[in-house]
Amino acid sequence: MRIVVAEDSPILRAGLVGLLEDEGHEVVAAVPDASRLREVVAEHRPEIVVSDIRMPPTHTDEGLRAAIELRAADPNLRILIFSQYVETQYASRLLAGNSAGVGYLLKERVMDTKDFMDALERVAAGGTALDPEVVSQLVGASNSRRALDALSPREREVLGLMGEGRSNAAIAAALFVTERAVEKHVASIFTKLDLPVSSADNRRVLAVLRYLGV
Amino acid sequence: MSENAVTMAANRVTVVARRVLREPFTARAWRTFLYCFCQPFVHLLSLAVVVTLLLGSTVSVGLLAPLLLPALLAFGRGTGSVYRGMARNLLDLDVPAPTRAPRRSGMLGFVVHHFGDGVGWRAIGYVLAKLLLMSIEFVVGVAFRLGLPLMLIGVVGARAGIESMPLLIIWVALFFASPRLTELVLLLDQTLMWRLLGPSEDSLRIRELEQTRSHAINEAAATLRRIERDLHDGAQARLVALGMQLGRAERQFERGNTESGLELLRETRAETRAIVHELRDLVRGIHPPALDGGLEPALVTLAAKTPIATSVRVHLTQRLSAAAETILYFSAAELLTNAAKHSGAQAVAITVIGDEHAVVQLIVTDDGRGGARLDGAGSGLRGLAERIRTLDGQLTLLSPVGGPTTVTVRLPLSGG
Repeated sequence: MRIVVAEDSPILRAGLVGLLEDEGHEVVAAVPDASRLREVVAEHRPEIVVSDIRMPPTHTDEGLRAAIELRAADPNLRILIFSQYVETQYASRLLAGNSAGVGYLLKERVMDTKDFMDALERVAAGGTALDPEVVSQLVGASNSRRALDALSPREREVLGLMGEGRSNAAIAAALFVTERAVEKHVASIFTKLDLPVSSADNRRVLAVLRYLGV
Repeated sequence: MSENAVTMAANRVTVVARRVLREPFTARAWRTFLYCFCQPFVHLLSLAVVVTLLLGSTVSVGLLAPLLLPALLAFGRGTGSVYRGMARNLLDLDVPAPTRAPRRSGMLGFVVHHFGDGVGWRAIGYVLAKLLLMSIEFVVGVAFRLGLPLMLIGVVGARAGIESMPLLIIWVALFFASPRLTELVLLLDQTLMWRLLGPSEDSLRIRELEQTRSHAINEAAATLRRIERDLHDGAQARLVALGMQLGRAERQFERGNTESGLELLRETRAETRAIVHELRDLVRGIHPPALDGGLEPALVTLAAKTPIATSVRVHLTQRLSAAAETILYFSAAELLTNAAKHSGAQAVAITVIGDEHAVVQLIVTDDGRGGARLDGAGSGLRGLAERIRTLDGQLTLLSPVGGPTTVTVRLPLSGG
């Protein structure tokens, strides 16, 4: 994949580039701030952008704003956003339009190379990747707690993994159950929460997130 | 030789005479004249209002007092600002406006606010005290100056002879003495204005406390922000990078690339050491561990780390409060850094003395080139002085060009 990296910490930027190249991807540019990010995206037209949120000059949400702009200009561009903190508000803004091909992960997820690569590939394929931390905060902050209480513990686990953007197969692997068992749980969740059933993974994520109030 | 001395004396007389002759016609003299001239009009008017309101309250045996006294105090406050305005515009005397105490809740608060307002009563005091002073100001500042021209008109008009000569001389003398005498009287007026129309000592102290408090709060917030940034950009980012590198190493081993996996692991170890160093520096910046054992060992440790030869002497009869120790330590650290960066000094001496007057002093002297200034760029002395002020302390700087530089920090022992 052709990737552009935006990250202001030199040490993290170098690590990220090394990691992506180890895994056989092509990092076409690695830049330290959002305005350079806009330039290199226009120049190299990468498939996916991996960007930090807090970057110079104001160290607030430059990366996120740039990402939202870039996606508005080119809806086919995949975006994987990184942040040191969980901010459900950031997630809402990122997912506000179209959640296909976007991801929001905590930086420490990078430590687990395999998980990170899964998330990257999911986003590249037009899916969604949300950090488990983000999803659990969304579930915790949801105004629909009463309805969530109706779910069994296992169903809530499945709901969280769906929110992260995982497919039935991935959920089955994570929970060490069969795919059929997962399908049953998913159907039960959708019935209990009164959600429209959808087969496409990212539309399913969207439904869950809308339900959680994003 | 003696001829020379005579010439010099004559020169001096000429200079003085020229100044005295010019003085009544300077801009300053015209402005004080105008000020003194205005006083009776403004003053008699305000005095009339004050006396009427006071009499009204008394004659009505206090019946009208509830209405008249608040009006009197409001009038006093207004008059005060008129006087301050005149002093500012004509005398270049800037008396800061006093702030009225905020109203407390309840009945008592209402009464105190409207009947016991210190600002208003003090302004009334000024109006009453000014009666005598205003008369003197008018005589000295106006009558003395107008006497001469009026007399001259009279002399010319009446074609008076030699007999009016002594009187004329007196008026001339008064005319030229007037500016000096006026300044003298105005000095008295000035003191009175500072005392009665300016902020009271208490409110000055409150203002000072408000300023230093808000400074302390801002400073604490800025420090937290700095620590957060240091952690976010430093240790936290490095730990993430470290984890990332471990993940990469793991993958290399999984694929059987032992050599590159080992290389990544070695880098990881070096990086871990760097993180430990960074955290240690950060911790020292928050609270130096050496300070737990007292100011003296902390200062000795600090001196040992300074590139310039530094001596430390501490004479304290008791252990200081934690706040005092911390601020003195960081003052010493900042001053040492300054000495090392800007002064070109070969040696620095740090002395801490606690005296019987419940004051502790930190004196830092270097033998550098001097010329340090409180508002100098990058010296951080102003910020330090502000921080010291929050503990009611004070920082003084003595740094003649060519050196040496001595900075003294004085802290009250009780305050901390």
